[in-house]
Amino acid sequence: MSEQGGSVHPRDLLSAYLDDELALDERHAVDRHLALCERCRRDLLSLRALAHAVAEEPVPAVPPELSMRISRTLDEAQLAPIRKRRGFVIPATIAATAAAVGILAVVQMRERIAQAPAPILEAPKASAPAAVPEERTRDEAKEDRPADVLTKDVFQPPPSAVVVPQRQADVKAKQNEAGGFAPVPGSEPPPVVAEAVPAPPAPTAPEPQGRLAAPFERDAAKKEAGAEREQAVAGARARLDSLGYVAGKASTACAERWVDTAVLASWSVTNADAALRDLEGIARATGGRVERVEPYPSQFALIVPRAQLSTLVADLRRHGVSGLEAPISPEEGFDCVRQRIDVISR
Amino acid sequence: MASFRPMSDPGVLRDAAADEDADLVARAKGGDRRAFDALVERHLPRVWRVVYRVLRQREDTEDVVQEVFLTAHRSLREFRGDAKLSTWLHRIAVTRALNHADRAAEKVRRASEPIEAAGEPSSPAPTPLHALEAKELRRRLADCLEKVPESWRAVLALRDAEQMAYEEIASVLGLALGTVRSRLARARQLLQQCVEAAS
Repeated sequence: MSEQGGSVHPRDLLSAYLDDELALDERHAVDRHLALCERCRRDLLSLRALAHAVAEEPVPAVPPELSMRISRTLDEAQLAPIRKRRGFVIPATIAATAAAVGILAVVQMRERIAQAPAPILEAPKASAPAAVPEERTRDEAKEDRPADVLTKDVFQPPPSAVVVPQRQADVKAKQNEAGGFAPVPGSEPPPVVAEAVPAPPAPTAPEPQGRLAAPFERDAAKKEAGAEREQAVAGARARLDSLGYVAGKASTACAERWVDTAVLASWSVTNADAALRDLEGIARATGGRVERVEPYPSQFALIVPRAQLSTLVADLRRHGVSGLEAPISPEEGFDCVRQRIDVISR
Repeated sequence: MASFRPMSDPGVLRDAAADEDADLVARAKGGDRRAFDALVERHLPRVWRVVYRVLRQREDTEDVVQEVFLTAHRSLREFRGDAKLSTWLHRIAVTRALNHADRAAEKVRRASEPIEAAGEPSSPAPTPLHALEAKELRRRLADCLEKVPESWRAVLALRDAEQMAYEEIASVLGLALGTVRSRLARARQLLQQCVEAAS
């Protein structure tokens, strides 16, 4: 509202008044003001004329050949190697199953970083790059990473598919026992590593070895972890943008949450206060947190560590959560959830 | 505990067009290319209008519209029907258009000179917008829209040209309802000032 000559003009409200998008009390207030204010009535007239003019602004006709061109481009795109997107694809049945329990999970990037092969293990991987499709660039691979991690860790595919992280974890454990990053005798890089995880650049300097090298290695590992997280956020953001959803700050925020959080489920509730209390209790017990889904006053997201997934589900059931069996179906406006679901399903 | 329900809105009434869309989407998801082509035919004019109103360049619009439908085809499997297909397509269209505009350096420069920088109208007695001749209004409006950031054009196009409700605009743009309301009000106020001050 602006004030002039002792009267307050609801200029900020006139636009929504014109569109009939004001709450009833606001509308009545503007009605009362308009009855007395010539200037605001003129403003309203001008806004109406402006809206009409914008609506009537000429737009060139759709080029007649455009739909044909789109169709041809689609034909060409379908001929492109499908393997380029292999990292994203999960069977529709798995996605449907995940949706059916109403919970979708996102894997902590930190877990990924912990499982990532140490650089020393990458060196002997001379033949591994052959498993990476030639046209799959490093950037594309980076972009793939979050969904790639997600499909593996959340949905627990058959053991053959998870052998890579497990073997890497074993190798890492042996390295830690050895007090450094010395190669583990007999450890061979699994052939699928290069396909699932883009190999970091081969180290140019000789790898420090033994206990004395450990602090330096830890610093380097920290830096690497930071860099990996940044890459993961950038990759996630690129992925979200490429799907045609929000851009800019919103994407970055979603991407950061994507790599940092674990499980996210959201519901609409009929008694918001009671639900919030209960959800916060569950969140405390599982080391998670509750977020409101703006701008909806009765919708919440419950974010808990992935390791607590089974506890969470059991608690929710025990607390009489109905709708858990129904497919999760977030409203528009809660973009992070929607984008996660979209990417998960790819 | 309060009873939870899934966040879908079962109360949304679906008209015949939406049913037809749903049928085509289901077939297209099953790999029926002709069904997807039919979806393109049905939605191309609206997508074209929105993208053009954001970019205001015919060639750029052609490129972006193609990208929109390629993206839609690639992502169709994730479309679950919670929102209208047109809302989903508009979301892709606006995002693609704004990304395209961001990439164009001259557009960025233009956006950095918003019309609000001009301050209050310099003319002591600007012509009230509603009193302008239709032809003159169109001319001034076209000039002023060129100076408006693309994100503002998007919200104006969705509301004034496509007649979307604020809630649907919020969904398309990924914004809170209040942000849509304030952005639209601000865009209209400044556009009004610009048109009234233009000569």
